[in-house]
Amino acid sequence: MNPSGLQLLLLLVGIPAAVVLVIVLATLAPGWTRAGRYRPGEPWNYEPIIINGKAGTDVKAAISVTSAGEFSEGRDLTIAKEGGASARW
Amino acid sequence: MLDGDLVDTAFTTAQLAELERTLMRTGELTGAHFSAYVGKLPARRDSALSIHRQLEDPDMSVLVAVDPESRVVEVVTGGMVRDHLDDQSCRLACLTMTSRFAIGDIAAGIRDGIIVLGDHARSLRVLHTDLPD
Repeated sequence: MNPSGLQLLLLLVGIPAAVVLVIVLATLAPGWTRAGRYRPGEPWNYEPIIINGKAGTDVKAAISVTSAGEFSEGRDLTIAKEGGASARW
Repeated sequence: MLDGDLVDTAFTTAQLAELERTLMRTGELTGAHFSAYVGKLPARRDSALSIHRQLEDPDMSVLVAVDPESRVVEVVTGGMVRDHLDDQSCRLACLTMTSRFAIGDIAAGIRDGIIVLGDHARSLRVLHTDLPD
């Protein structure tokens, strides 16, 4: 059976186009489901998160206390015995 | 343990799981408790100190606090951990983290920083490698 003009077009163009579409989708789809990647300088519009911390740690309260210029739980942070380091990028 | 599993976070579940695993493993190796915080630090170091003091056992805890918007990272070591993990090692960990943060990879930066902190804290405990006087 000889294919008609339309069938020939589908065979030669449609199938390769479908294959290309599948490959493109397979490449791009994981990026759509992944959380948006942060780029330096962009605003950070996410909830504060503490990982491996004590359950129920009130991060927001800790932040708001210090941002108000007061001290956490009445303890003076200026005489901190803690060590560590700071950096910017 | 993640504090608030349903919060809108920039990290994938896999990234969070990996971070949690790294923090827990480092804690087991060193005997200290490692936590990470990602969010705003309006008073920079004071904010990090305030969060650190809310941890279960602050004296035995290490907190890595990152504010991606202000591009600030703070490492806070508790009073007792400080004897095993000096500030120089923390600065090295900060350097490792900021090189990752600069290309936008916050999760990997924290993970690498924790590994550096763990290596340095652990190396101080290996007393049998000390040479006799």
